[in-house]
Amino acid sequence: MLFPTQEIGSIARPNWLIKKLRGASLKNGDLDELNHWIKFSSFEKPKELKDILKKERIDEEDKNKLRDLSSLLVIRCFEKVGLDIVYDGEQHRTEMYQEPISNINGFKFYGEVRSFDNKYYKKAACIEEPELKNPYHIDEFNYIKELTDKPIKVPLTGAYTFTNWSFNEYFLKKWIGKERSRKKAIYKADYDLAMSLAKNVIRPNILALKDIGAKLIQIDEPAATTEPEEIDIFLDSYSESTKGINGCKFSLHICYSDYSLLYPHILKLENCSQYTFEFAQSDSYDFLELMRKYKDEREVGLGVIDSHSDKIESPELIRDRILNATKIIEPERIYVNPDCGLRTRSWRVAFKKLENMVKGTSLARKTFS
Amino acid sequence: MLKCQLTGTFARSPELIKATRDYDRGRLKENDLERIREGDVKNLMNFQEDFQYIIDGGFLWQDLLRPFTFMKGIESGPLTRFFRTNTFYRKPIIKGNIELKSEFIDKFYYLDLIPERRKVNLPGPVSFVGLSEDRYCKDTLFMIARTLSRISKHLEEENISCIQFSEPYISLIKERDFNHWKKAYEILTENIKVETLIHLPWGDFSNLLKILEFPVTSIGIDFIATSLDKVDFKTDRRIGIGCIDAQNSLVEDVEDLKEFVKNVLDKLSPEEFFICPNCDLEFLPYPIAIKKIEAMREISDTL
Repeated sequence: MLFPTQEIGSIARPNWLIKKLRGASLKNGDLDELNHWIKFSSFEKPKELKDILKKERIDEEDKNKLRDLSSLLVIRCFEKVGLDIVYDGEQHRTEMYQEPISNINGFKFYGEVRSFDNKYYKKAACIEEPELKNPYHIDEFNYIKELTDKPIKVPLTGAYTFTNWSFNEYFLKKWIGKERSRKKAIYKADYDLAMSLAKNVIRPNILALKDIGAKLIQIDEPAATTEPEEIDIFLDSYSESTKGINGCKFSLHICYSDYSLLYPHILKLENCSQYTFEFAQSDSYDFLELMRKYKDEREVGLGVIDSHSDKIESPELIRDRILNATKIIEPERIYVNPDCGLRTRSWRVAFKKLENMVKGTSLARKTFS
Repeated sequence: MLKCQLTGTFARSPELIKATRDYDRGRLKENDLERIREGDVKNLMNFQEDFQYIIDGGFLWQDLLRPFTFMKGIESGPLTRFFRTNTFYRKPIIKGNIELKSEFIDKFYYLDLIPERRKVNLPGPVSFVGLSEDRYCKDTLFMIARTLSRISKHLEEENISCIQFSEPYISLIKERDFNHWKKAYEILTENIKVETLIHLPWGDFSNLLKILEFPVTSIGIDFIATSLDKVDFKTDRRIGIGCIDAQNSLVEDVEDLKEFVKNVLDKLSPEEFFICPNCDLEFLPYPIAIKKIEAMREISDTL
């Protein structure tokens, strides 16, 4: 089948889940919204879910059950809109940095740093050699793989993004003094941290996921091009994380970045079958042109939905975005997805966008049949 | 007076972060948020008590360009990564001739709280245009320079002592048109009498030496991105020695820093200088940002 459709990662955690986990009371609107999605997806466990929501106080077991049920509901919604490859909208995760870092020894959180506007994230410093406490997506994957017959693709934050989003004290201390130039010391320290994370954290995580049946693994590296001089650190740490691992198909997700910085270096990337990038918001296929120019024959996960806008793309617009891409690379190499995770959008917007994405993809397929 | 300056936006305190979050969720009233925000400004003023100039921390700026997206002729565009950070800004879309009353900028500063030695931060014209999407495509750089000039003139009338123009974008441009940029700065600073400062975060100054010819009083150099071995120049400009790393939580060893500053002074012999962070301290958590100010003070004390 041409143009398989897939999700990228996160869907917003619903109000009923956030509030209940926080101990806050639910409003009628929260339950109305839940009922809408139960009906929409033909969700099979409404009673179990509502029984927990009715409780005045919930314990840890209930909280875990709620996360599981939210995960199941998202999968059913993905299935309902017709996605070909699914995960669970990362309903078990709060975000892609803080939670994994909390599972790695050697990091310390100092406080929050701005992401944008009034949104902040907790930024950690590496103060010792990183060491994985326990593979941190295992329980989630084991749960999800039993819920659907569709192929599942597990997202995992990559070593370079952890490096770039953290303060690097441990390795910088080692290089200050050895290098006269602070800039060079920072580069060498970042190289050491990224490679250490790749060897000691990401690779063991991937191997653990593979052992329990993961076949599709998406490595999220939104920071890949943040430091143009450090592109090789991203590439080397990615390759270190994945090299020689057979039986898994790896995709690389980058978004809102200057992709032109990746060529020609990215050609040496090991074990990467697909680039899953944002294209809709930037409204540019320059990267596809670069792929053609450099004869890069990997697949592309084509971002056809703007994840940062409430405007719902029409099926015809999505069809045209796909067809325009086929003018540059072969249709057989194109997968279809949103630009990025849709967690900043409401479910109404997110699933309508995904529904139209599937419809638009069908229109594009018809052109080729 | 210590030869120290902060550069622009400062880290918000945990209390202010919580307050803005609560305000967004409708759990805090605007007056209460304002009280907490003013508290942050006053605390920051205390930390800068004996500094050359005092900034308000830019707590009303969501990003370097956001206030300008409220001007006629400019719209707010998509969230875009702000350089080598994990912080995003709204990319302005320049659509037409800009119309503004310069006084509009007042509501983005806490000028009333700073009685003297007021320093304000504005985007430099090169970065303004470079960080925007230019759909106007006429003499956009000069139009922005004229706009910033009118705003600067207004700020001068508000008894500002130093106007900083942040130029992070310059470091990213490969084909540098220094003559064009210099002309923009001539437009920008022509009628400005107070101290003007170009700050160059993330810029390797060895590639930017021609900026020494720009008509400004001071130049802030990022000595994290610039290797001292690679620069050698003489200038009558006041030089900002950006040696405090605002992108790493590792607080500088004061003895190392003293030696570094001494090496800068020995090699470049600037007529005047000051110590500053390489870029804004907003990229650090608040407690670390405070420690960095203390490190600056300690170095400056001994120089």
